[in-house]
Amino acid sequence: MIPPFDESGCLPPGLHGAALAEIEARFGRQSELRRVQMESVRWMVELAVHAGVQRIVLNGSFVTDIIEPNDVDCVLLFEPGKGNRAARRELRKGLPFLDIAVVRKRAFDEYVHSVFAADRTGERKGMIEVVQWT
Amino acid sequence: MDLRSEREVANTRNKLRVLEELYEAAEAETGDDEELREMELESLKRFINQLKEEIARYEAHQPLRR
Repeated sequence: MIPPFDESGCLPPGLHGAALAEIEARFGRQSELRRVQMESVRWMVELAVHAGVQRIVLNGSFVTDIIEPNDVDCVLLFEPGKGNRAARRELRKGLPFLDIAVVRKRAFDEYVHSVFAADRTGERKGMIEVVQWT
Repeated sequence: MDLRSEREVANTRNKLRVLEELYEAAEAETGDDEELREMELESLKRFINQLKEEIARYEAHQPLRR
């Protein structure tokens, strides 16, 4: 279950696993902008799974209490030499409202444990990991 | 998003350093999945440029320092 926001409107520090239905209920219905962003998240997950993604993490203002987020930051972990390259190329073209980072293990770990793990002031904050996508 | 303080600039510089190290390491590698490496480089460069722009925008609006 996705925990409540803290007093600054962010998730508590750490990775919080959630299925798409829970992500939509919590982040994808509060405004028209959030609804279309959620639609893009669903397209991205479908494409990423087809491409053989190993892990998907969502970050940015989409996973805060802001009513109209700027965008959804996504980091996708892929293993070299595996998956469907044609689907991966589709991801490379991008999707509306999503900033998609396609990375390997080392960079993924840095995104999750360092770069995405704190806000601009250095305060630790939480992210969402998409789970149960089958 | 605009940076609003020296503290935010310092934190952004730290993130920038991490990303630049990752970029340099990925740039120096060779592997069996060149396309994935290129996609990682593109992702890192996009983020690096974004952070550099935020820092430059902040600095451009600071009073001149002697």
